[in-house]
Amino acid sequence: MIFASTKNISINLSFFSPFGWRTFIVFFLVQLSNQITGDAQTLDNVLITEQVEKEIIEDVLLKLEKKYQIPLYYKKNWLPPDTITSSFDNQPLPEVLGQLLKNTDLSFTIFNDNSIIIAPESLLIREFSQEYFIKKDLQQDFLNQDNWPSNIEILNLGKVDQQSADGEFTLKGKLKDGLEDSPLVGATIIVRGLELAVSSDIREEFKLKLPGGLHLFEIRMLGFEPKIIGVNILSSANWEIDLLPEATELDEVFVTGTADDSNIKSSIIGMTKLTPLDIKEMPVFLGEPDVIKSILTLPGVSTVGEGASGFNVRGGNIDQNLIMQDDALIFNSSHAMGFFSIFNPDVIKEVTLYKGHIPAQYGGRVSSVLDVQLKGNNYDQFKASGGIGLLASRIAIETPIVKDKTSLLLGGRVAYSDWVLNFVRNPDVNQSSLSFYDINGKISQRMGKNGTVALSFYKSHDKFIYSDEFGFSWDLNNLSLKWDQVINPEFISQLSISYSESGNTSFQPSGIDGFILGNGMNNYKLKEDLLITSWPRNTINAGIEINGYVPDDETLKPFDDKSTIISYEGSKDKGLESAIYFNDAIELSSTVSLSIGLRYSIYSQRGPAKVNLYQDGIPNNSENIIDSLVFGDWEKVVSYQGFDPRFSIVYTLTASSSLKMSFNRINQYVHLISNTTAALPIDFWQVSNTYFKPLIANNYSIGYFKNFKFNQWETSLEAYYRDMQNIVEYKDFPELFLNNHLETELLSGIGKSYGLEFYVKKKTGKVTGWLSYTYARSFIKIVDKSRNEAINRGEWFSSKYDQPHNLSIVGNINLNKTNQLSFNFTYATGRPLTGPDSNYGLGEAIVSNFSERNKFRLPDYHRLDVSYTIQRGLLRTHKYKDSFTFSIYNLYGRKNAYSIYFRRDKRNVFGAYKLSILGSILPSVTYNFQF
Amino acid sequence: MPLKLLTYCLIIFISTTNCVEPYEFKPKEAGNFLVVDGGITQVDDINRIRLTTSTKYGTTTSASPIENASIKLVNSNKEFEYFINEGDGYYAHCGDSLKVEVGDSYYIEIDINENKYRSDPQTLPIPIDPDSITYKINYRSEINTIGNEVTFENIDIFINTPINIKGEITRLKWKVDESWSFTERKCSPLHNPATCYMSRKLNSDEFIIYSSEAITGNYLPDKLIGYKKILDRVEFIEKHYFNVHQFTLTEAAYDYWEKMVKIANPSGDIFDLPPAQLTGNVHNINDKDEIVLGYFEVVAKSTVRVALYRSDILPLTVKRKGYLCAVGKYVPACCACLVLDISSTDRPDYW
Repeated sequence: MIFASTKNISINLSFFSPFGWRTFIVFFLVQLSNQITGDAQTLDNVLITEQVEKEIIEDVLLKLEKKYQIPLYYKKNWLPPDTITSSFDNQPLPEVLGQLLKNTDLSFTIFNDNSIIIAPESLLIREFSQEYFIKKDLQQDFLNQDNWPSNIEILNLGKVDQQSADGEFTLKGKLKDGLEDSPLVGATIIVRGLELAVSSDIREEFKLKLPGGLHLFEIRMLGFEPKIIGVNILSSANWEIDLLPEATELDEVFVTGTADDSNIKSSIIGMTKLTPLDIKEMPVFLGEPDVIKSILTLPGVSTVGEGASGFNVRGGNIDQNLIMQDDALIFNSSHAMGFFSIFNPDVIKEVTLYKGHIPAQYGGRVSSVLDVQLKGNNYDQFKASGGIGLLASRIAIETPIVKDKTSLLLGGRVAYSDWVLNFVRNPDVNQSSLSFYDINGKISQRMGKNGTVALSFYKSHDKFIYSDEFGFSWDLNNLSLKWDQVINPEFISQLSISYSESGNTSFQPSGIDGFILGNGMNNYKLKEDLLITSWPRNTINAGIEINGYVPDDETLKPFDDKSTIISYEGSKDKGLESAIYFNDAIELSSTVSLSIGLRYSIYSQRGPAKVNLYQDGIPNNSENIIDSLVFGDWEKVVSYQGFDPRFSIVYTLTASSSLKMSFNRINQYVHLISNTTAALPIDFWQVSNTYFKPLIANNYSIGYFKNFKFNQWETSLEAYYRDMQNIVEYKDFPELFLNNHLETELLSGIGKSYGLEFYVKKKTGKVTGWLSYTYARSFIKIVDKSRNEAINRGEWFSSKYDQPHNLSIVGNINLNKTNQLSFNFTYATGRPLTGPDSNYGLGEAIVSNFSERNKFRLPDYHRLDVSYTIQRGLLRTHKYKDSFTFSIYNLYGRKNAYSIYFRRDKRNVFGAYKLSILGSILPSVTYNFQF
Repeated sequence: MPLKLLTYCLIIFISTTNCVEPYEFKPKEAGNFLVVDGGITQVDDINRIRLTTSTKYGTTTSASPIENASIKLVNSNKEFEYFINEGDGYYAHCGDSLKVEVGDSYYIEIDINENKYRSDPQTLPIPIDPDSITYKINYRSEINTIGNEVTFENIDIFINTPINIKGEITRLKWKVDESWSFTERKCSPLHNPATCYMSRKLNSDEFIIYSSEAITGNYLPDKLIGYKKILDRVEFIEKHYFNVHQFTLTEAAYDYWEKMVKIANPSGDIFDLPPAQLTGNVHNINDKDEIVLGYFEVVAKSTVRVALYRSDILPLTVKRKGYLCAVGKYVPACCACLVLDISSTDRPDYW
């Protein structure tokens, strides 16, 4: 590839691809500017007098270069072969060039006031942002950006005498912590100008194929100082990069300079990564940074309010979120009735939320994937962190057991709210109890240079007792074994085996009808994922996944000897889901990337089971059972299968904007059965069976992404539509517990949700934060004509997650080196409510006649939280760092409605009452530490 | 110091939290539905049904009675007897020509203008007679409307009854009423003090039901079915009865009342089940989509009662201040007890 110029400049121009203009600029800036500067003149003022008669453009340009000593740069094959005829008489050079290029798709820019670049207009616009294009002094503009280093370090890699057939070389890099010599996974390596960005993989390595010559590299990882460096690629080479940890002084953690533009380049629409730093910068509830609270500030993610478990994504139910911690399935993401999430922020390495495009390696849930990865690869140094709060405390330690070979991660949290409840005047409340604990553990073992085995476990227990009337407890137990093995640099195997258990009990502790009711679900999962990077433009994931869903028997037992409750034990349906998948992330060109995948899943319900057959034409109820089919242990009862195509495309419009689209189809074979206002931890899971077919969703997304100010500002506008089949909805007054024929209590239907999400984020500077606004609707239609059953007459109605307007504003203000103020404002339309339209008398009682389901709405929800962090704590030393966080949840004491209910009060007055779970401001203080 | 201060702040804020408050709920539209309320029992007494229409939620007007209907009670042999229109929406079955008997099946037919309604046939179950009533005198506490905890003297009423007779699941509903006598003070030389008998339903806005499904044993002891706040000393000067009416329900009737409990007595916490429209067992035979509210009950009734005297509730009353009708005070009811709309000079049979 030859870059044409009559200037006799002896440089290797082989890397001047049409996609490498930034590289071209850097090259000139650091190595050649002197040569050009010597001939500098003001090209704007050059006057041209020339007669052109049927000459091709190239000849004219050559003539101009020679006659007026103007350095012109272009590629020969860009120039059209057409001849032109024209005359110029003392006309400025830009005018002459404009006229010469008038009927072509070429344009030009004056570079450094002393040379001219001629290139296709689209390339110039894309490669030179508006700022570059209009500014005269590109060199100063480039080098003296406020946040860029004034001197770029240049590193030569490879050997000069080696050649490549296509002019491209392979650069293999390895990242490590420069201080602790520990590996770094997940760092982002960006090659400016080539629009290339990769992440270091599980081997802490990355690989790039790129043209020889000089490239500007930018390496970023949260918690580490960004590295910006020029690299002169002479041939294929290895590169070991050290990143230095970011100092913890607040003024030093300001991310300055150009920020990550992965939101533009990523081929996955609707994907968000959160690090512990992101999470900890959020205003905290009761002093505890929280994963779920953080993702609730993102567009499209919502909750029905305080006291509700889980989260809702784009109008979906909470059971439509695939939640994993170190690959083990999480059945319930909430502690303490949703006030805390189950994730200990001190042990988290990274959280990834997929709410738009879901790659084929994930399946089984139709709305989103929340993939939480834990730390556990610290093989060199002991570290501890934690926090002590008024209601909850936490701690985490990382330590090598065998240096460079075996590491251990331990974490734990405990909540102790009883002492606060004792101060509440309501006797029912002050005799109540709400507590939880959880424990994380992870042992990682390096298996030679190319393998790692990690064993993770998690255990949590929650208990809630309300006065002496009733109580709940629920447990999660997870165990996962993950073996990552680099078979060769282009072929990585990731094998994981996991076990997840979710159990809950509800109990009534007094009286002759005191009882304990138990339910639970177990998941056994085997997944083998192959990561193949043999082709430079392809990243392939292929694998198999097997999930076994084995519920515990539902049990009812007397609470104590006084109880006369009859014990009951009933089996629940088992299910076996297997899937194979293939996903290829393809870089078609520098502007177009695809992620295309296919997942095929096959599911079967397994015995023991009894399938009731009902009389046709009338609603299913226990009186209409005409026969039953009995199946033995693990005998196949019914099976379903489905192909899930996944497709996502990103078209990079400019260096700072892109357009993305995606389509997914997903089959879901498990359902969370609930009939309460909001999901509770005692809700139970039901696998698909003869009557509850798999939930199938088609998700469509499109989004426009645009960054400003060198990626310091991120914006996006996304639209989505989802249609669903086989949504399970409860009938009126369902009996869900101790019921071995749930099909008499539940109906199936269809659903649709759609919305528009707007997001703007300021990533750097003294003030950072984001605003997300979502307009979203979610409707369902439940009708079974064959059995003459319907909800709301079989018409579309709002799902209980239909909240049209959702706004979240998060801000962090770094006041000085040690003080940070954060706030979070949330607004959401009140969720749907089933309310009465009339009253009537029964005896002397007045009761309400409730109208259609979800016909009314709760009052709108809004809340402001603030937190103030003082970095300098009690024992600040070089190694020991601590801070105090003061926070206020619900600053203006808004009594947001959890529900509206209708009854007589103690004065026998009938009316509506608003229940607020948190009806006042809630201050807290937490002491955080790390060493 | 900051920690201590914050702790106090936290306690103050939480302890002053008022999580429940009245809410103005104003639906734009109102359903106007027929309501059937009442039933028949095997007891040789007048059985009543009231027909009304529902009123718009939030309006203060009482139910609109339907006075132009005719109601017919029909048994399994298609024998029937019409109810007598007593006015104000009440219709009475006297049993002159059709006796209600245990084991027989009954339904009603209602004619209102051109519309005809019919209830599902129900078999009157075998009554289960309760053994006894017991009571416990105690103090109760509750939070009043301004958020303060108040303690009051109270009597809890318990029923003791057999269940699961012959292995059959027992389904019960209770209503409790109280009655007491009161003798006027001699207010003038010519005044001849009368004795009045007061009668009132207890906890009338609550539905107390029970099912022995999933319960072992054949006896239900000490089932709390009502409570009495002791606020008026007059009620316990003389004899005071608690009368418990135990109704044995059909399975269908129990299902209805179980649902009614869920929507009429929500606990108001996060564990409440979502409410829904509850229709009963009466249907428009020409228009199956018409919503008819209420329930026509075919139930077996048994009554048991207990009498309390002033001495039984000592020492609670001795703590109280002076006698309401003491000389020197003027309270109209002390001289003319019939001014109270719950009073009568007719002495109850059981007195």
